[in-house]
Amino acid sequence: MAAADNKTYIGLSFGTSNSVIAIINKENRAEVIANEDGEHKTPSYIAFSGEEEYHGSQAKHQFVRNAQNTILGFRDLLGKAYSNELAAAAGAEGAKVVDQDGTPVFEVTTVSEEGEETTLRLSAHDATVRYLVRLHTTAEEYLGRKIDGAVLAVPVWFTAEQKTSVRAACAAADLPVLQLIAEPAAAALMYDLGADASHDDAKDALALVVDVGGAGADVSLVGVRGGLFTVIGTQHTAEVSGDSLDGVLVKHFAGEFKKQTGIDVLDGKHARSVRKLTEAAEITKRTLSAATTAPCAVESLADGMDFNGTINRTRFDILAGRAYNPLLDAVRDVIANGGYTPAQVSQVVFCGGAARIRKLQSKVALLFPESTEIRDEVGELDEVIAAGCAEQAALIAQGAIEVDAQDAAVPVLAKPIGLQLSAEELVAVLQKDTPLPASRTVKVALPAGEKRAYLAVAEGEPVAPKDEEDEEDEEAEEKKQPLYRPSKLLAEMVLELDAADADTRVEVKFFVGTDRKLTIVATEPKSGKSIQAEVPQN
Amino acid sequence: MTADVPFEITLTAAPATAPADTKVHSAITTPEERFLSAVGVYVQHYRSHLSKSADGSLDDHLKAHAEHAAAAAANTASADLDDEDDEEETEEMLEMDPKDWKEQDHYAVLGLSKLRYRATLDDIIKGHRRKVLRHHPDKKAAQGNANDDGFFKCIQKAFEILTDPIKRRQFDSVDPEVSTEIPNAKAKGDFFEIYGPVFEREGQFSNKQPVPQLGAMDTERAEVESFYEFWYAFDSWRSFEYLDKEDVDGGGNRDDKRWIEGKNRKERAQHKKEDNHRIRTLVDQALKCDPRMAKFKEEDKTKRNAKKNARMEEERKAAETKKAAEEAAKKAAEAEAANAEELKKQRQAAHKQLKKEQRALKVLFKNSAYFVAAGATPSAAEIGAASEKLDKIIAGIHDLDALVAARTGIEAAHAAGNGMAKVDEIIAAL
Ligand SMILES: Nc1ncnc2c1ncn2[C@@H]1O[C@H](COP(=O)(O)OP(=O)(O)OP(=O)(O)O)[C@@H](O)[C@H]1O
Ligand SMILES: [Mg+2]
Repeated sequence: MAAADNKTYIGLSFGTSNSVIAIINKENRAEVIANEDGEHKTPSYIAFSGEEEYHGSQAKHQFVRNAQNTILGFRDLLGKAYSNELAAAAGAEGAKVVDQDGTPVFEVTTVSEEGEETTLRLSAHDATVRYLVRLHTTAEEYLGRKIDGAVLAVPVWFTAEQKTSVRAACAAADLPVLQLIAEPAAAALMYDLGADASHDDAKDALALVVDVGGAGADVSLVGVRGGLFTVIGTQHTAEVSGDSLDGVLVKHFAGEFKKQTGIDVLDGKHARSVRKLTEAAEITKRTLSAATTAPCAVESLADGMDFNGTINRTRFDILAGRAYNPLLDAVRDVIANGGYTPAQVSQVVFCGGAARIRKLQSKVALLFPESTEIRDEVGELDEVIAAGCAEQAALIAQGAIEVDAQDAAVPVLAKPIGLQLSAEELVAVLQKDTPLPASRTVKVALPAGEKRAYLAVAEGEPVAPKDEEDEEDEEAEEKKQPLYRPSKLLAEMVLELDAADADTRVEVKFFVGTDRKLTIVATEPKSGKSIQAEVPQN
Repeated sequence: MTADVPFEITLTAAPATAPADTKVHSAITTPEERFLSAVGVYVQHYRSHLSKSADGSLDDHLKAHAEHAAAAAANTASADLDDEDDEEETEEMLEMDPKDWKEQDHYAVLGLSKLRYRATLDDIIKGHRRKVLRHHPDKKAAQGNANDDGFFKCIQKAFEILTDPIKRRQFDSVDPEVSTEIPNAKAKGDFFEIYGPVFEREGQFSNKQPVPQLGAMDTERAEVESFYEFWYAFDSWRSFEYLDKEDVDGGGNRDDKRWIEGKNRKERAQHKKEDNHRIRTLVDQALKCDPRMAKFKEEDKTKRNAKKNARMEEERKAAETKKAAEEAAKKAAEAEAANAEELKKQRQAAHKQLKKEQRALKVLFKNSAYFVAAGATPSAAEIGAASEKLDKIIAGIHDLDALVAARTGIEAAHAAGNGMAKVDEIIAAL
């Protein structure tokens, strides 16, 4: 830790719905801290009431009765120009969004003690700065020290303008940005993907990061090659989100309320009742992740009538069943667009608060064969990204990576390269999407009674997992299906040994330089016998 | 890897069309571009590696990472080796036969005899470079000492051993220059001065790093406890292959070889057992002598006593408050009783007064001859009518003051000669 022994760094995830702060504790591990309200998550809400300004939960609680003075969704407005559609969408829930010289701004009213009303206009930048200043203070008060820098996570799909705006807001909030990293990369770090990669085991993996937050879901395919991460592809869908699932429950309970009282709160004339019901439904939804049945109670929901409902998890799963489809489509698309099938995905990792829903997890899991690991074990799912940021901040503190290192384009293998064992089977040694230069070594055994090692080096293409349903051929089921089949023969080599038995191993090293030349070296360590082939570039 | 477990990748037999040695068919598919996330411990190595590998022919970043990690894992306490730190070789060292490398002190050969297991990869590389500069055969030849490359070979051997993590561990395990002694159980002196360096020395063998420090007198209790926990669960990589007997004349037959191997294995196991025992003894002994343990015991006792005292104090206080409350209740009851008595008396007095006043009024009526015309004697009917009025007033006025006022009013009116009119007025006002 020589590089920055006395620097204090934090990790911060700044979400549409919530923000989370993580510090690096004495054991040099990420630890999420609580804000003044004692909560790990600070809702991304700002509310004005009278002269007072509220943030986080205190602001969110006001939303029901003070919607027109509550600012939400400001993160996703950063770096965007005004348009009517944008204003309509962003201003639909809370404070109104208006045009100010081409910039969308929120309009709220403050009232002084003397009863004087003032209109306050805050751009997304202004709101973000106010919000970040609070978070910054929270962290400094917790640590009792000045903060020297933060690693922030932003969605992979954030544009250059959006990233610039986040940096500008941090600068104005006096919070130095150590690095902006992509959310799935932060998750990959937290799930220890590629950790301890070495020449003996490069820990190559293909991970699908499924992040379901409040406002939308992100699915990203991450190549993990020798400890290096590349985001192979990503898709965002606003259709599947914590909010949309709240909507499913609101619809259900509104139906029940209508049956009981004849009042339809969804008729467009009961905005406040809908907000009340949504607030309660979110709690119901969260409860259902822990318990099999959950109540939903709203005092004086409409016209002075109370609502008291309950729902069990099975019912919710049925109601929400179709709602997950866009997420499943996104999963399928991202994998296919990356040039893979679900069989090559070695792990699916979850993050985001709404990914706690078991049905959502199991629906995603069903798309994959049994060999794919399904993981959600690294702690509270809505805190994974902040913790990943703190881990990255710790690496910066140790000097393992320089401050403000940027993601950069690098050449990667377009196809997996390996040993062809039959016309149907290729063992990939250098995986597709491995950054160059790269080398990997495998040990192989000779066929019984043979003294010659015959190596057919080829590129491959992925083999889709067999349909679970056609289980007619039990024996074929038993045999493990290959992940790749050869698509192009690159070279053949024969290493003649003087003697060989069942313990004889040949080490085959594959190396591709940035010059795109492939070198294969096969060695039998005991005798020192070796053969080499070079496949030049086109 | 035993033969009966099927190996993961088994090649297929060569087809008839196989080449005699190598045959190249086709180039790899043109690489694509992707964005590499600047996240994790490996990316920095990759980036600096990429910039060095201009011709694209260097191996990949994993090697660079491994070297870096090895260097970082080694204790960083060592100072930068300046030329002043260089150690002169002894005569004896220079005359060593490289064949006897097992007897050689590899650290001393590279000029690192003080750092020893604390030397980092960097120190070793530096030490090696320095010694090579001085002892390279070419240089010796230039000085007229041809064919004198014995010590150079020793240097190369030392470098080979100390840069190979496995071989270095084997050597460090039995480094004769590092003491394996543990303090005498009855050693007098400062506990921390005696045991601190010993634990630090033994910590080098830990699979788990970093190793907790012994600390000082004021170290937190939890830390002290986790220190001993660590050492009771000590997971050591120390091993004893370096002491293996070799097949001296090399030409031994298979049986001899097997016998030597078996013997070596037994001896290694024996050494390991003894070493585990040695560590166990060290930890047992330290725990027994550790002044902090006594301190903690004392603290526990005071804490227990404090608890007990606090409990007793609490009970005493509770009793006191209870007693006070009882007394207060008693007093309040008494006061209330007294109060009631007083009230009763007052009421009785008021009643008496009222009666007295009523009597006075009656007397007034009587003495005023029932307010008939002056000098006349009231008839029985007049007396009856006046008495009735008197009764009405008495029945109508219960307030003493009002009754007094009525009486004095009537008196005054009577003196003026119109008593009866006043009486009627009063009755009308009731
Ligand atoms: N136990 C739970 N079960 C189901 N949903 C939950 C649970 N806990 C939180 N959520 C939901 O997760 C959502 C918030 O997730 P998160 O905090 O990850 O969002 P975010 O990252 O701020 O938003 P976004 O990713 O859209 O920018 C909310 O809709 C919340 O209701
Ligand atoms: Mg999120």
